[in-house]
Amino acid sequence: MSSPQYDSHPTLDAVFKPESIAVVGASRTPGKIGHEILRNLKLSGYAGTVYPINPQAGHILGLKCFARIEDVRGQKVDLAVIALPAQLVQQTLESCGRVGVRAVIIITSGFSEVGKAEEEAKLVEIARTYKMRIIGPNTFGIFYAPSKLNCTFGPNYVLSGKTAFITQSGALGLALMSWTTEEKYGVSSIVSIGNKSDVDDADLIEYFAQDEDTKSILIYMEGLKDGKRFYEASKEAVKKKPIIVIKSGRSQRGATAASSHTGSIAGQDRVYDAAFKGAGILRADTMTQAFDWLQAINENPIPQGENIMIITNGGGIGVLATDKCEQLGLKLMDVPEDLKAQLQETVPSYGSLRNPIDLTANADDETYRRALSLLMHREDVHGIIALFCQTATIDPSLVADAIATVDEGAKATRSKPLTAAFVGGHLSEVAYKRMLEKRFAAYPTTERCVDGMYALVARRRELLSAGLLSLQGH
Amino acid sequence: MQHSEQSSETSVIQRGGRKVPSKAKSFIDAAVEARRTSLLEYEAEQVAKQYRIPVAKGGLATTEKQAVLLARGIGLPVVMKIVSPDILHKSDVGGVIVNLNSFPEVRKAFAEIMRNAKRANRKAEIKGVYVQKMAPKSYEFVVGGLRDPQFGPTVMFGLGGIYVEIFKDVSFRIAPVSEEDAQSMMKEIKSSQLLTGFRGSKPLDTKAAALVLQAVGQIMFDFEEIDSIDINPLFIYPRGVMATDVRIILKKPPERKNDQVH
Repeated sequence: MSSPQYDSHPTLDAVFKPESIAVVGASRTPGKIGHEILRNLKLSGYAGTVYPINPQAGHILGLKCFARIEDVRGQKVDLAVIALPAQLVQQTLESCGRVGVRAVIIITSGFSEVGKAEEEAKLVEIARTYKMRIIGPNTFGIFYAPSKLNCTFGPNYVLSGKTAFITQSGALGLALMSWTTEEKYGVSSIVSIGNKSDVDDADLIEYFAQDEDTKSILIYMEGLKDGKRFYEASKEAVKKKPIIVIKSGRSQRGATAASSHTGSIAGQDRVYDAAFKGAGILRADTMTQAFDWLQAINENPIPQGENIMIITNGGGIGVLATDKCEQLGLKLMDVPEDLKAQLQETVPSYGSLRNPIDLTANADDETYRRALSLLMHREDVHGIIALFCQTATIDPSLVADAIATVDEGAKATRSKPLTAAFVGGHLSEVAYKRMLEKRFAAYPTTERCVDGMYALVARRRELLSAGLLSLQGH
Repeated sequence: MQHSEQSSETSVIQRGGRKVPSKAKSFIDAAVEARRTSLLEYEAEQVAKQYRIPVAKGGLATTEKQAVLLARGIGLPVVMKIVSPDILHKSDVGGVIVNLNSFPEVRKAFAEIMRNAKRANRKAEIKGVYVQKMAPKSYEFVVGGLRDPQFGPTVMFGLGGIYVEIFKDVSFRIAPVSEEDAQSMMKEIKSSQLLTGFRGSKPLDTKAAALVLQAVGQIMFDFEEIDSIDINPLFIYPRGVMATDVRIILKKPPERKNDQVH
């Protein structure tokens, strides 16, 4: 089921960078899967040729239809998407193989996930014969931003970004397609991996590890088929790109009664946890946390040390942040005397020059700009957490802009990771989403903001332990 | 996958082209042949020794006299444990007596253990009584090996002793385990401060413990027949470690197709 089976294993370029796509089971009826996929392909700006395959239609959405895939002449079909009833999939796959299709996405469900393992194995056998790769079956398709490829029956508009998202859940994955866009989390790719009959997590990890447009990998998984291969592939890929996993099923039945202590303690989830830790994968508890981490990792350089400085306009959120830092094992540095002296010009006497630095509720965008400017240029500060509590006196968006421009200036000379929180009502939401759009790690709560910084520190620790970090940083 | 240093015993070529210690292989082969599901304690300890895991010195006594002779050679104090494939939970049946400080005590203990064993299970096959050097007191840790269906050989480390299944203060890593993996898994447990030193106690030899973790992973790799390994307790000292109870559980033998009914 994995690449060792092939002697010359075709790369997944046929899936993500196809020059031509056939949609087998194309439909004239809006709302039907075979229609929505075509619609998304058209609207997303995909530059290659699309061939709807439908014996009963002449044109769908302005695209000329063909009765069978064999009728497509003049160009080899790179990628075929099969959205037909289960009983027709096998013969369709054969046809695809015969005309030289290189990869197939099988949308159709009703295979191993309902117990029909043999029927699914037959599909894989056919694919192997023709050296085709299969994604699925039982998938909603794939999205790949660099090719403007939306080959799914989900929402049309997907925000482009740097994370490749691999999901084993169809329904959750589809829902997340909308969610990521609304929450301003961009993706380089979404892959609905389905039943993993052929292409599995390890294959995709290897592909995205070398993909120039992907900076991080997120996997929602329920189970693995080839744990050892996944482990090896991840260990290797993590050296280049961070991998974050959400694995559901923690509460599954634990270890069976065993005659050894070890056997009776080792529940399935603990071993998965061990695999993730050993491979350098970060395991997230929730989708929100996963994307919070990704936002921080994608938009920041790796910190050059673990000294964190917090600036805030409110003592309350400052303490909340401190608590969270302690819980997560983040180090709050002491404010050196010379920095205290410099800050005295910016921080009122009734503020605080300890970490968290309390700029007080009177702080405005200028205050933040000045304070951050000082911190950005200091080599002993490795990470900055900027907290803002909505007050009546200043529009959060002004503070957001101030933070954004200070960092921009610093990026020209020295890079420093920064995460920001805007806590309050609607205006704060506007502010933090504005920062997200400007490619900053911004959050609506203190805890999530600290968690974002944690991900950066964790990534640093992983790279250090793999011997991949020079003293100058990433 | 690194090969842990093996003793000077001759190695044989295992199927798969890998060299494994011959003595270990013969114990395991014999047990598999006899359709047993575990090695006897002294067999398991021999296997451990072959992988350079420090094990408290011991020997099997079939008579009182032999027990005393062994105790003389090993040096007091000793512990004595019943050895029988039919008695798994030795302590529960009075099959273990510790802290024997004189030869008369050794003699008495031999008789008592045999009595307790027979009382617990009249039909049990008794191989004898294992006389073992009593390890100096220190904190007890547990090292385990298991074969996960997904990830293969997996190694466990944690706080040991009789409450291990209640506290479950353990960590796991997929084998093969590097020294770095071993160190990080030891830091992960809640009781990790016992290793680094607290309240004036000295830090413990995590380097030696790391070698044991690596060795257990290696044993799991070398012998597919092994289902799991328990070393509980592993005493870790400021210098060195000592295993005093090693269990090796084998995979269940395949069902015989032509089992006859008598």
